[in-house]
Amino acid sequence: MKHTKHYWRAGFLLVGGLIGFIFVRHFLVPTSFGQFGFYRGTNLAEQQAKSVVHGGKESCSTCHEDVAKNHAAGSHAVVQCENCHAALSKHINKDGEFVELMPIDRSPQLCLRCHRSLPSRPTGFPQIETKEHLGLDEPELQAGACLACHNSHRPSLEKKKVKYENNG
Amino acid sequence: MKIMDNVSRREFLKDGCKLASACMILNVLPIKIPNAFASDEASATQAGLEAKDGYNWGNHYYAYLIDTRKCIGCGMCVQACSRENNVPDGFFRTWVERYEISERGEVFVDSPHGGINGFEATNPGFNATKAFFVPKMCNHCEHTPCIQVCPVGASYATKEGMVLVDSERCVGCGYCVQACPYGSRFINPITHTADKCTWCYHRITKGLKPACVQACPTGARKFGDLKDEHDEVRKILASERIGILQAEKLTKPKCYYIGLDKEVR
Ligand code: HEC
Ligand code: HEC
Ligand code: HEC
Ligand code: HEC
Repeated sequence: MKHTKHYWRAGFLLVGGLIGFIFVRHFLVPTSFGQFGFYRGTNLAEQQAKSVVHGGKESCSTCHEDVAKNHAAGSHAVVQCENCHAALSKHINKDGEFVELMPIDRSPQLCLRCHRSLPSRPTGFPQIETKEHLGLDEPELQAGACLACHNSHRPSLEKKKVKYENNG
Repeated sequence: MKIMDNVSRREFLKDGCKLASACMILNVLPIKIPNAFASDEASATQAGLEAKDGYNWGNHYYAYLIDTRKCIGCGMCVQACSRENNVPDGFFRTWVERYEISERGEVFVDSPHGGINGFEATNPGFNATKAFFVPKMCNHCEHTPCIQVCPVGASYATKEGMVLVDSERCVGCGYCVQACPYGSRFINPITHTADKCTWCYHRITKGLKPACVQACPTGARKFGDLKDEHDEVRKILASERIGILQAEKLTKPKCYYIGLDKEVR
């Protein structure tokens, strides 16, 4: 029996180490870790809770009914309001309160970003060469250059003409 | 067994073998050890992943479809993504690449600022016979290398098949950034953690489309749920000819492409 002391010592050391490990682990590993897999389960809820920034065009129509109606009738109906303006959350907060005015971009660059003639665009898409369309190169265009003739919300000129005829 | 003072080597080896075979037999026996990492429905309800707004993550399996033939390269998707997810300037969760290929097989690829401001006319001397745009982002691969290399369990796959990053767990080691063959990840300069596309997890769990899909004016980007029988993407995947990026990497990406070229990777 001359070695028993050594066994006890080793035993204590092991148990002590284990308790220490469990203690430290308790503080280092978040409680929800391993709830669904090798990750922190509560992160899912955190990710879901992030607030939505873009509302889509439907979100504008409650307050801007005329514009929305006009927009929906033309070929730009497929273009989101927020593409040309800014995200809804910048303008109206979650509770429907006014935050700040929506920016308006009247530069021709906004239109040309989609309509500048490029070989890599699909051929069926309406594209223009400003030199042909207006006789000016792109850098020479002033703000509002396209809006002089096209309505940004309903750009097709034929439709505009029909509207005037009806009015007249 | 009493503690012996001297054990012969022979006896020690014999006992060792017995112990080893006993362990092997125990392992084969159908004893179910409670698995802490098994996902079960009850805890899913607890976490509010179910029931809250009728959203149950078990009922969804998402897929993303990109029709490059429809993409006009306006970059509105990149802009919307950046605003929706507060992506720092100069970094992109999604971006658009422009490919111009000449008859002689010269390839020119560019993506100025990820395409966030659209594309200007370029290459006056270059005679492209074939040109197109390819939007890119995280492919949310089924067998993804980025999760495998994460040492702290910060990158993980959800039941809906999405790959997400827990920015609180992430230590910013950047292994996943290197592991991703698509270059979809980056280290966020503000949080110093790995960042990437989440397919707008905060939007899709509320029944909305990802911001990029909503912003696309031509329908080049589509988001669908493969567990929904009437889903448009599911129908297209079943009926059209679909490509994926870097199929040879065997990562099983879930972004499907129509109209890919051999030069795209
Ligand atoms: C809760 C109502 C509400 C909603 C929703 C709303 N707006 Fe507005 N909007 C306003 C008000 C109020 C003004 C200020 C009108 C004024 O001062 O003449 C305004 C002004 C504007 C202006 C003009 C800014 C200017 O300088 O004159 C634009 C552009 C605009 N909104 C765009 C949008 C878009 C795009 C959306 C949808 C994403 C939207 N709004 C949603 C209430 C709303
Ligand atoms: C193609 C880009 C584009 C889209 C899409 C667009 N807008 Fe505009 N919007 C403009 C421009 C440019 C102006 C400035 C028009 C001007 O000064 O003639 C403007 C002006 C406005 C104004 C203020 C002036 C006015 O006409 O009353 C409101 C309000 C507005 N937009 C709301 C909307 C809403 C709501 C939508 C979506 C239904 C929308 N816009 C979609 C480009 C756009
Ligand atoms: C986000 C991209 C985008 C922006 C920005 C944009 N458009 Fe458009 N535009 C479109 C799309 C998409 C169509 C529909 C094309 C179609 O029907 O195939 C369209 C259609 C048109 C048409 C009608 C073409 C036709 O043949 O019917 C005109 C004109 C036009 N846009 C002018 C403008 C002007 C002017 C601006 C700037 C105020 C502008 N667009 C900004 C995407 C855009
Ligand atoms: C002087 C008036 C005028 C101005 C300014 C103008 N356009 Fe036009 N635009 C027209 C007319 C008229 C048409 C229709 C002619 C046609 O169908 O070819 C047209 C057609 C278009 C079309 C459709 C082309 C197609 O192939 O269907 C687009 C796109 C367009 N314009 C974009 C723009 C942009 C972008 C600007 C600003 C840089 C602009 N326009 C400025 C008069 C104008």
